[in-house]
Amino acid sequence: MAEMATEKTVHITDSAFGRLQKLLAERQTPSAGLKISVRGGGCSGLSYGMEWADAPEGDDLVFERSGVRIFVDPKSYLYLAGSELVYVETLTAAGFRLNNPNAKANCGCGKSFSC
Amino acid sequence: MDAVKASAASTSFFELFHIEPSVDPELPLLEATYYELSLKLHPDCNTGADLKTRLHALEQTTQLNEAYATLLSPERRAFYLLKICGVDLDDKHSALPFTAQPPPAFLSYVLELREELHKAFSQRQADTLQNLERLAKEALQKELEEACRHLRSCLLHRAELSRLQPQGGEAKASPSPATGAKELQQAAAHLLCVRYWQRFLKDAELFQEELFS
Amino acid sequence: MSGLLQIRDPQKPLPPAPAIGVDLGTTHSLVAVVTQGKPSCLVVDEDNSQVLPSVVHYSANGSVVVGKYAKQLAFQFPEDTLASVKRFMGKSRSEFEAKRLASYRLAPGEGPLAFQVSGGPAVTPLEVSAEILRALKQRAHAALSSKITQAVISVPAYFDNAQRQATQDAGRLAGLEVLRLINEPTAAALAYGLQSKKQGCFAVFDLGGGTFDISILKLTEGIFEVKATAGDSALGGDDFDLSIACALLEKWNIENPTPLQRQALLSAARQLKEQLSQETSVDICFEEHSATVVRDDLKQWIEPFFKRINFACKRALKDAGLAEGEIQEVVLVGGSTRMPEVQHWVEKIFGKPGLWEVDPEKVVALGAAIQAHLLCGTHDAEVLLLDVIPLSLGLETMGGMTEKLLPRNSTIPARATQTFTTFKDGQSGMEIHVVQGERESAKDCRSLAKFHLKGIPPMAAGLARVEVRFAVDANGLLSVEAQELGTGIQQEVAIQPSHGLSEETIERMIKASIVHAQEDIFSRLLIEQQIEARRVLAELHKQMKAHADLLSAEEATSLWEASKQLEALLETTQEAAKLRQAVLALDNQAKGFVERIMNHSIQSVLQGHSMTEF
Repeated sequence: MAEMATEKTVHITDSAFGRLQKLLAERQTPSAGLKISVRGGGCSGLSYGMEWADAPEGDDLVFERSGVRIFVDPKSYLYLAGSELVYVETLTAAGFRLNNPNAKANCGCGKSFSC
Repeated sequence: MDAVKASAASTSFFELFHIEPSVDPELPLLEATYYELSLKLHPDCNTGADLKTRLHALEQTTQLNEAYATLLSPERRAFYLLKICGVDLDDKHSALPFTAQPPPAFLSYVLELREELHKAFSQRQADTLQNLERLAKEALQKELEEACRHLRSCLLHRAELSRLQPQGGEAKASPSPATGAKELQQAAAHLLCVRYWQRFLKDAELFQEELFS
Repeated sequence: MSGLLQIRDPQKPLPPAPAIGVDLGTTHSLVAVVTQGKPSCLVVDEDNSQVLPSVVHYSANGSVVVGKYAKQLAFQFPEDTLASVKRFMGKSRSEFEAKRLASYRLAPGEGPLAFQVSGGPAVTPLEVSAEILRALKQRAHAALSSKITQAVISVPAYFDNAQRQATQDAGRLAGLEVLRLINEPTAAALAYGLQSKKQGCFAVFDLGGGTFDISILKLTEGIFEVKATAGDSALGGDDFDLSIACALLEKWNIENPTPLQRQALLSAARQLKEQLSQETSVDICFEEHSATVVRDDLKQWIEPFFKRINFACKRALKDAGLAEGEIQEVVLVGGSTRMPEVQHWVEKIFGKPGLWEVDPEKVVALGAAIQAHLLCGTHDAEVLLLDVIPLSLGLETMGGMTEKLLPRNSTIPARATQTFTTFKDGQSGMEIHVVQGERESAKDCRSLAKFHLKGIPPMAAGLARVEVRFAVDANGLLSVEAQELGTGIQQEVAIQPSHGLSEETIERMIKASIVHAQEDIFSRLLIEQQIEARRVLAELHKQMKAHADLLSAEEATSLWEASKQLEALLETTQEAAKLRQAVLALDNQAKGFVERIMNHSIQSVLQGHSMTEF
């Protein structure tokens, strides 16, 4: 499992790194991490979920960049391997996006994709 | 409330926009400053703030809007400059320092055109109404240009006075006060004529509105 | 652009309910909300429709039906089904024009303008609008599963003070905190401008069911400034229908039509109008009459409206200080701009064709939602709206003339001050009459308030000085203060809402609606569960079809049976809790199947790797 993790990571881009660092500082929980998961549901089959977690759970994989950590459970990792997390700000919206090489069709709501 | 009012009265609209009183302000600059100040002061840009801050924002924005409307319109700007120079044509309660009456020839011309305006309306001649409107607009423009010419002199005169008397000193100004007063009187006389044309144009518009509704 | 992901914080409660944007239209209403930075309209009526007909039916048993069903009931109960009440908002009894084809029954007596309906006391236009808003609020709640308390409601730019006040009070009555009344063309420009990212001078031509607005705006980055607005708050598609219906009545020599005939004929006229947008010639049958109508007939019937529209557009351009050629684009808003003849008018006036880049029927709701999002104050605003008052505000002076304190198209918030004096020696009071409108004579303008300032100390004529202060807030609503400068005697003037309902009446109505809120909660919970049940059923059926190979025959049968049971329960039960249990049970039963689908998908990603390798 560890080998796989080094092979294909979930990459934290500069934009996402900066934003996460800021959010963690605002939240006053520098040691917490971002848990990313893939679930069933959403308008094209599967969808992403993101929430704060104090520590990795069970078999969660941990990806780190200078103290900012991402936790991914093994099942979700299958989908997320090789993805990169970006933070986007536009005139009307701000938020994160996962650029996923595994996803064939991104749906309109941005939350789900099909393989 | 009173304090606010006092400050509103003493703060020149020009100061609010960080420019010297002028007949010909740079309009794009005026707009840019207006937008910049609006983004800073407007209550909608301060929605998260406390009540006191928001009320203050409302007050400031209201004053800013009034100032911008005054400085943007060439007509309102001219009347406002005249007021800065000491003659308030809007204040019906203060006596004007000279006889405020346009020349008889002017009055009879306006009256004549007014008669034509009423005739055109009663006979529902939209074309004639529009022609009269155009005529009045041109006349207004001419009077306004004249007024602005004199206002420029007034402002120049005023600036020179303040330059020569930096601390309100005792030195007698070299530009004669009489010249300044004369220019001011001329500007006021032309702006009074502008008033007549403004009223004329308002009526012309109302008549047209009634023709169409 | 696809939506973006937000991080949920398990330690924090769910995010606050979003503020909604409502397009409270004459014929249709919509509600939109910004989620994840993007505005979208919500489903508010049958058949997944995002459009709610602004029709309210009052049935004999006292229940109220809003929307598509109400519209259908109009044929059966023309007098108990109210449509297009927006036209009567803020109007007094004396302003009510009984149109030849209207089937409303005006309630007898003196009070405010109200309609007689079965099943209860007469209802005012304000209350009818509140029913529409309440329905929108409840349905938005069901769609979002979060409580709705705040809203931005759109009004025609050309609405006067009384019409705005009535709309705001209708919002309060529906249990909404009205964050802002936004002008419809301004809302449209906001949605359009943010989406297209275009800058420059634009005209928004908004012809809806009952109102016409033209607004000239300057869009720059960060600021959308309304330069001028003009219009007619009683001109729209409804008037076209009426003209068509009247022309047909005349053609067929029908005199004194019955309420039912009126309703049918108006509906036929609307259909005819809509068909003529697609086809060049349409056959119409009505009872024993028939006719063939071509586009030229329609053009002739609605021609009188062109003059009014043209005049308003020209005046807006003049007030904005712009020539037709300086307008970069004309944005079309409102259902009536779908008519080819109206598009032809636009081209004639502006010298260029109008454009729709955002759905003209949704753009106002979307803009209102954006403004609601900007105003709920949780983040920095990306764009500031600077709007204007549509009509001049002034006072009646000696001789019944008006003196304008704030000219039309003044940017709000705005204020103005004017001093007045006494005209008689020893005069101790002064009548102050606040009016709105452009006309010279005060009686031709709309009267907003009349009050008497008392206690002026006796002095010679012309010496007392009374200062009158006008202030217009960001909603375009006016407040007035008067003060005698010598004594400091001051009076605040309540601008009495001319919809005729006093503040106490409205307070009472709001309290009464809170008593009913308990029932509302139950019906809302039920609606939510019904929606959830339908969603689960649809998803399950979809997956069962797509992954039939992952189901054993037994499993398939039992899942079909369970879903049939839920469908049956959905039709019969009124208990939200029961429905919820059934949904959970089905969900549980399908769990194994869903897991298999997920594993299956994962396996196809891994191309042969099995889950056990982990």
